[in-house]
Amino acid sequence: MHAKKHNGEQQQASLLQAEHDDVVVNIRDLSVWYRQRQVLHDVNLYLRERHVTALIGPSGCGKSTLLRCLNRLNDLDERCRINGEVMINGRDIYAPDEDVVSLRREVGMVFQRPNPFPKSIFDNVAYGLRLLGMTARVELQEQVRQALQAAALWDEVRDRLHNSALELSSGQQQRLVIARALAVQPKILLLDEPASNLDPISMLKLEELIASLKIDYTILIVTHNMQQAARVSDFTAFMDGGELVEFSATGELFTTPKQRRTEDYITGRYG
Amino acid sequence: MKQSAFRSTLSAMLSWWRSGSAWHWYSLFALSIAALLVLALLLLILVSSAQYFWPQPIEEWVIRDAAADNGQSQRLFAYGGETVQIPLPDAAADSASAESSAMRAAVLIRYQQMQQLPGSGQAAAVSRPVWKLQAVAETDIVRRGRPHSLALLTLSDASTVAGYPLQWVRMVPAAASEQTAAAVVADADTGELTLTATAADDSEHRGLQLDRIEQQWRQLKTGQQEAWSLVLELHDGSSMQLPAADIDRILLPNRLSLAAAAQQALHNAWLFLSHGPDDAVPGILPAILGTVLLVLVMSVLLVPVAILTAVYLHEYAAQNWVTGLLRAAISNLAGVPGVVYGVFVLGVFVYGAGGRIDALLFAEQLPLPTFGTGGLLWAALALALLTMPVVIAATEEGLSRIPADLRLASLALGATRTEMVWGVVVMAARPALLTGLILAIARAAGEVAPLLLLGAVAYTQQPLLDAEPPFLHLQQPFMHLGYQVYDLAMQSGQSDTAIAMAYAATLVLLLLVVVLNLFAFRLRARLRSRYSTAPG
Amino acid sequence: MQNRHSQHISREFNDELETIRSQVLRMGGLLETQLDKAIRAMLDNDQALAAEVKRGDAGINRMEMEIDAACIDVVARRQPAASDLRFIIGVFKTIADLERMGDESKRVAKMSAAERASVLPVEINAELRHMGELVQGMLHDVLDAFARLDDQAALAVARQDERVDAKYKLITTEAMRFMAEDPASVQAAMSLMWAARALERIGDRSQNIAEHVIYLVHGRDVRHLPLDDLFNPQ
Ligand SMILES: Nc1ncnc2c1ncn2[C@@H]1O[C@H](COP(=O)(O)OP(=O)(O)OP(=O)(O)O)[C@@H](O)[C@H]1O
Ligand SMILES: [Mg+2]
Repeated sequence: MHAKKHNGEQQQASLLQAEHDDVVVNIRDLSVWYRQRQVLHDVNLYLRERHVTALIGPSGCGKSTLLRCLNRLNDLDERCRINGEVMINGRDIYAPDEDVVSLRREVGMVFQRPNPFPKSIFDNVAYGLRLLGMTARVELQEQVRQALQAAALWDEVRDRLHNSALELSSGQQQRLVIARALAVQPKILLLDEPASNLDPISMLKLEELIASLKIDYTILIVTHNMQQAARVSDFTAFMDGGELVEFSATGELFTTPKQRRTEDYITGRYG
Repeated sequence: MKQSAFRSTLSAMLSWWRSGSAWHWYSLFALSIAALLVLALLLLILVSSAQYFWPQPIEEWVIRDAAADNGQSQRLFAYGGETVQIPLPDAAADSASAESSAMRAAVLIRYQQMQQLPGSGQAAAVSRPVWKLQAVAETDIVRRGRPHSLALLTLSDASTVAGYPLQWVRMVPAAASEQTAAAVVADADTGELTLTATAADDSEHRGLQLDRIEQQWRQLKTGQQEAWSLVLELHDGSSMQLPAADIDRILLPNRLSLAAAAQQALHNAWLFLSHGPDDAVPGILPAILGTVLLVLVMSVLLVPVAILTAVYLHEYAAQNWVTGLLRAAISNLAGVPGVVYGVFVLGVFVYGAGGRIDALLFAEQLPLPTFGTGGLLWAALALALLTMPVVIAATEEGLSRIPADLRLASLALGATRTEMVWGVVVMAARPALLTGLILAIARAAGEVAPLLLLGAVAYTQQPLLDAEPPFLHLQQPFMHLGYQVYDLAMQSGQSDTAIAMAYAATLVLLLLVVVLNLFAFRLRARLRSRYSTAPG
Repeated sequence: MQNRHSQHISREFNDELETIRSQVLRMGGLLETQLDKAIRAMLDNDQALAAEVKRGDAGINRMEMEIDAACIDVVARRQPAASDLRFIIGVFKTIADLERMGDESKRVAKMSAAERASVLPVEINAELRHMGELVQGMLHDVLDAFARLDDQAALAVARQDERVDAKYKLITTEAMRFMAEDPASVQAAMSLMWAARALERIGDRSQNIAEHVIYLVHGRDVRHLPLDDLFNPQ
């Protein structure tokens, strides 16, 4: 970060200190390779509890890869190698004794493409709950309803809960997968371009939803829509070519970015 | 002038060629060839099997009595058949040995003959008509014709009798009511009551109206069915009384309208489907049952193993050259001839495992084998092995088409790998599995070769299903449609009927496969429409 | 920082920003002539020239509205961020300042020297002329700094304002003295003070613009900061 501070920036800059006691996720010198190709270079980033952090950057810069490191979804891919440290609540999630399944319950994820299961709407949302061993019908129904309400989808699907989730429009599917992630009540929510298929009004609704979720969740959201990042997030990180170029309070990053690369990206210049 | 016209035509053709619309026509052409071939095959099967079911005219023949050799002639009721070559009669062969190999034209007929049934106890010996097959030399035929009034009766025991219906009679009961008498006329000589038709008729047959014979029969049957009988003149001139209650069907084959003939054909087809080979009208019900059971047992054996194999290959195994080799080996198994599977199962399972099972569990029945010989279970096993590659390949294909996103979504929600594979991936791949199963059923239903070794028989009396525990007798030999076709085709040198029957069995087999597939199709369509956009 | 308006991927956006920039410069040029005329009209007591200045102000007002509309259009359609956003906001503020400077010029032109000549010593006019030159220099420099997005030049302009302020103080003290000495000179002294005040305002606004330029270039808000601490190149 920059060394010199002035009155107006003092407060913003202090938000960025990693020594905050409300840092939930702390990523240190994280590097990722796919086969021989390094796609993340020594990324340092932290997420503060009950804040929204936006991750922006050109396509292919490694945003989704970074997200997948936070719930160890990269484990599936044997070609993927990871170096560095990811601490969640002070715990190294890449430690050998880490319970991946419970980690993933703690860190919910909404994927870049809406990917509902080929099951009914109800079963989609109940999927995670059933994995947790919840079988009581009444309880399931209640939890599913709450999740769908939280994702602002309930009113649209309340009388066709048992139809296929694939009947829904892609915007509805996007909210459905958000509801599915919310149902298991994770502490951290990773959203990979959750608004890519939404119309402007649904997008605003989603942003409203994110704002309301902030009360309970720590959120990391990837978006290509800079206005959206500016609207929903408290902090913004800009990545380019696998590097974390700049990480600042959102207002600062969008008015006075420190790095020329950031500037060029957010103002639409070729660097 | 001319040249430029030619050139413009040429360039038009070239541009047409480049536009690629030619391929449209080529593909259409290929499609029509395929469609035509399929249609031709279907037509052949349909027409040939229709011949088997279509009611044949029944003929009255007068032939020289070969046995009597005195110029006497004999009347026969017969179904005329094809012309065949038969050797000259023995007598001629004896006298002129040089000509012993000489042949002459003859007609194969199925005709009605009286058979003496030995009387049991005090009951007098009865004679009843049965149908026999015989070749009649063309030179012996005096006359053949199709009299309109010749009737064919089907009796309640499914046997058939041909004859001229003469009249309805019944024995006078002690107190015959006047009302009944009004409907019938007393025959002065015999004291029998004769039905006179309500309308004036030629009354050649005294009281019987040929046009309405069926209605009359129904009337009488529902009325006082115990009492009335039909008097029938048989081929040898004798008459026979058949109680109305014993008659199942009255047919006048030589004066059938098209609709009635079609109706009769359907009836015949139904008889064919619903009877066993032992019944007077031979049918293939046990073969149908055997085929269905075979396919079902095969599916039960096949599906779990195929799913597990495909899931292991695709989900758990490391994707390296070993799995690649394994996959190639499995796919190539699809090219192994069916009979090889038969031999394999015979050697390894029937003699090996089956013998062991017999020694352990059915020792009291030895040396009669129980599982140590061909049977439905082993045949199903061979078919399961035979179709396994197809199902594995289709299932794996389906698994690979499940998007990675779906797996990740499941894992991200805290599913273990097992929960992910079985709860999401396999569920989503079910339509593909069904596709594989559909292919497998079609292939298995028509496969005969391995069955030849493993207990398929042309005829067996032991039912596969019965009321005795364990109800399903998988160790037993069984009848099978495909085998029936094979068997009939092997006999076909002897008669047209066998060939027609083989076609009929083929048709049934085809329909059976269609029905089984339709069932699977519907299941798949339901799964797809409910839950999946992914093609199966 | 050099002018980077031409590096956007969207060429249309480049053109729009470039148009706005050149319009601002044209408006600045117009203002420079206005100010020049106004000072001459004041010093030479040229009524015709004063009238011309009065008429000329309408042109400045119109330009302000045009640039305003162009900026609003860019904000609505391009959603500018970072330096682009700062540029647009800087332009907004700059043209507002320029427009006010136009008004002040009108005010300068109105103050005729004829009144003063009768009662005040000639040297005071010379002081006023000098102040006018200073202010014109500032305006010119700040427009130049804007044109080149030159923060150093802008800082220099901001520093110049101190001299203008000193001049202003000197002139007002003189004027007060005259008023105290000779009540008859009150009218002339007031006119002198008004003219000086208008010029001082123009100087202030030039400094404002200089600050806008610094913000625009650096994204640092340097208003209301002590000048010495104001800028420290990293
Ligand atoms: N499974 C994989 N195997 C190999 N390379 C991969 C894999 N996943 C991602 N990569 C590579 O890693 C880089 C980063 O990909 P990633 O999906 O993280 O980009 P992204 O920033 O999310 O892009 P987008 O905005 O388009 O979603 C890309 O160059 C990509 O090709
Ligand atoms: Mg991505």
